[in-house]
Amino acid sequence: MVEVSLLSELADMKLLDELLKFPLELDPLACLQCGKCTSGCTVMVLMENYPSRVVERVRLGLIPALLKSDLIWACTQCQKCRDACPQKVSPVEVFIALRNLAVLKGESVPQSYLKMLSTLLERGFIQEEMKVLGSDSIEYDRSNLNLPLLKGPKNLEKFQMNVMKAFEKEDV
Amino acid sequence: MRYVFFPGCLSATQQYAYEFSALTVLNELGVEIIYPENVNCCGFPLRSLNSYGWIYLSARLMSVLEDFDAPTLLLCNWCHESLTYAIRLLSGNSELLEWVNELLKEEDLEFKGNLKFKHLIEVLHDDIGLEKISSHLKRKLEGYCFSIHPGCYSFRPGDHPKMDSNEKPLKLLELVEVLGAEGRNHLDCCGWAISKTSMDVGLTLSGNRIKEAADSSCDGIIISCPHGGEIMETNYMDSAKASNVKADIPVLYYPQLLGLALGLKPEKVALHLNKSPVAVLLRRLGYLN
Repeated sequence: MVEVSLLSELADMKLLDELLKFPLELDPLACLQCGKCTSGCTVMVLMENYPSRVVERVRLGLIPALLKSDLIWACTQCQKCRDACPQKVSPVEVFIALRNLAVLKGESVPQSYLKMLSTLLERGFIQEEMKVLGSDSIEYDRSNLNLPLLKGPKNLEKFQMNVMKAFEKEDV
Repeated sequence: MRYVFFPGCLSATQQYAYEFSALTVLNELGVEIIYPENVNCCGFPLRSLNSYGWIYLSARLMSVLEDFDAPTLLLCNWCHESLTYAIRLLSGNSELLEWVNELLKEEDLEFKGNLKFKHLIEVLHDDIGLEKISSHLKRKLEGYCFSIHPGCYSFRPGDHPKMDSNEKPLKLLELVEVLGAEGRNHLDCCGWAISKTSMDVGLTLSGNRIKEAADSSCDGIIISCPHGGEIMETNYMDSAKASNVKADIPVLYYPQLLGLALGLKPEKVALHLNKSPVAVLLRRLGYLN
């Protein structure tokens, strides 16, 4: 049996208001569904993700299902859709806002992002210093390449407190 | 000429060849470098988690860098876009600015909005200039053709003030051509960002860039962003496999290529750290048997 739900049961216009509050340059409500973003999308064919459809769902408030969907993480942020849009919708920023909202609502977040955040908290950078094997079979890092030390936040404790506050923030 | 040097996370922790070769050629061209302390990630890779988090990180970085009496030199396209975008948001939103400065006060910092910053490609092309570079060359790379990959954020999005023309980015191309080589602009995405959630898609995109260079009969790919470096250079083998590329296409950071044209030995521009088949190029240039 096919279950038919009314649009109003799936939509949440309050979430749309929340999404529009993020400090990002975006305007999903201006979308005319011309499809230029989708036709030029870098990952469209590879991931079957259609930015214009995601923007349309956002416009209608069909956000709850999107927040749980892998689709919102299937964007490589190349900015082609932003350049292609005649309405300044900026689909790429709609994806970023959806991700931000998914995080705030406690939806599952890709591990790679959480790992970057935890390394940032420890060091001020998203990645630990790695060793790189050279073609001469020697392992290189900053010290044996004589690269100067790159010093992170002086007061790590205060930096961490600020990062935590900033990454938990919902609006100004 | 004097700059505060900020390599960004990827160059500082993994893409050492980029930072190393940039320092070498800047030194050769008489540029003075200052390493700042108390710096941090620009936050751009983390804006997917929270935009406020990203803006705080960019504002913090700028508040540290703007205290120097020299402009900042960036190696990373993402840092460049991050700072550009954050300045736009902060300058148009007094509540956001107030919030960020309240946090920064805890660390005895203040975002004033005075930072002058440039990407390495802008410093080489606009500040040092093609003429001066040309006068330093020890060898011409005539007969070589390279795929020019300036990277998305050097020219997109077009409504932000970018380091190069949105319609026709030319700076990296001209910097390669001044060395005597031919260049072909290839402006598609390297796939780094999507590789953080879908590695196979990222590698396919990266591999497609290598395929594009091979299909255009290029002798290599020239890059100027550590994101492209991580996925196309460090992950060359997996990328080439993902897109079924059989040809050997070396991937070099621009300062590595420039260094060779300045007459420097390959190790002076850290070519021993590359994972792509640079030996093909070095052999042809006479550095290897």
